[in-house]
Amino acid sequence: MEFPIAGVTVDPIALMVIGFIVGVLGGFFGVGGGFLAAPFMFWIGVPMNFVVGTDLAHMTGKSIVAFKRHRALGHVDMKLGALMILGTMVGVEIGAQVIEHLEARQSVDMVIGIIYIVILALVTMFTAYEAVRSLRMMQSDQIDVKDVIGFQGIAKRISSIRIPPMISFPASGIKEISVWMVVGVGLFTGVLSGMLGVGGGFVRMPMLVYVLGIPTHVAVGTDLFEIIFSAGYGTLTHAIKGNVDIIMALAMHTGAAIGAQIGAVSTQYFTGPRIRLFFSFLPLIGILMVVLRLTGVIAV
Amino acid sequence: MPDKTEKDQTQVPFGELLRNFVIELIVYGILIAIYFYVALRFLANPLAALFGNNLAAYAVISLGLIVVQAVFLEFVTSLLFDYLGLHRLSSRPGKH
Repeated sequence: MEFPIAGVTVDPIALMVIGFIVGVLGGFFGVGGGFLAAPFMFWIGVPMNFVVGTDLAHMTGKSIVAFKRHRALGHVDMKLGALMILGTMVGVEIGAQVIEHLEARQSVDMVIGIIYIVILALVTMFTAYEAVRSLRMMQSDQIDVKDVIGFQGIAKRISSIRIPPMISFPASGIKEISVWMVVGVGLFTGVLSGMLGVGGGFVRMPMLVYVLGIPTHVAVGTDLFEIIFSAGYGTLTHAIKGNVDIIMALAMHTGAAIGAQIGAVSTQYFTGPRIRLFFSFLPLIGILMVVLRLTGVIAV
Repeated sequence: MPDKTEKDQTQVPFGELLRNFVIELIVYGILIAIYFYVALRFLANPLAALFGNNLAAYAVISLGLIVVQAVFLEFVTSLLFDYLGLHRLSSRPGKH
């Protein structure tokens, strides 16, 4: 089918299939899935300058579908999400400024690529280690609960920092925490997103769990709530620059909508540690994509 | 920290769930094919013209379209989930 905005002919079924796959991942793990969708979009013939913007547009729609399902399941903390958005938005701008500063120097792509690989490798190792530990705890102690976190040291220290104003998040089971810690997590993940372009969900979901002590299911749903705004903002800015083919995004989204529903509903079948264990493999795909890009095998 | 699961009240046979899931995919696929070839083909040329003339308006309309489609498809998929009994998945707590 011809897409007149991008001026190319692309198979709409392929777009729907890509949308479906990243939709399932997004609904289940609370990530945008740009790391996976972008190379595949480029591979099926979407022009490079339309890949990121179009992916962000479809991501906005997919996150709305998954968010609504998670909300119906009681997996979204709106108050937490709204507060984190503030930090994320500021962080994204700071990250973009850092990139602009670094671009004055040579081999910025290599430096950022290596930072990205190191961060994702740390996320993978830590999440896998902690999830296995939690699963063992659940088995050995015969605990019949939905979520156990095997490593609570950081979250306990963070909650003991009492810089006013303090705030409670009943939907996440947090009695009291400093507003600045929540904004700080948003800011940190925002800076990484702004610097690395993609990958906010990779870092945000584990940080919500391990740093703020949010239950995994709520972290997934709340992350999706945040992605609606960050991807929506990205869609606007990219569209103004002429980098969004909205017909392509709508086509992708028809697959993503059903995938996101399936992913979101599937979280009901798994405990928090199991979701985190599956999640720990996800950054490895991101690492592979960056390595392929740095070595010139793929262009996106 | 841990939140207690509810007791599993609803046991849905896996075969029934799988059958309903396949039906959902087929029904959804047909609906999407109709939507795709009627609505999206109809929208393509006016949007391409807007893309060429006014990028700011195109950006706002693009965001509006993806949000409207998301709300609409969420409604359709939820309706199908409920109609075909797949909503019962939602009442099953995580056990794995």
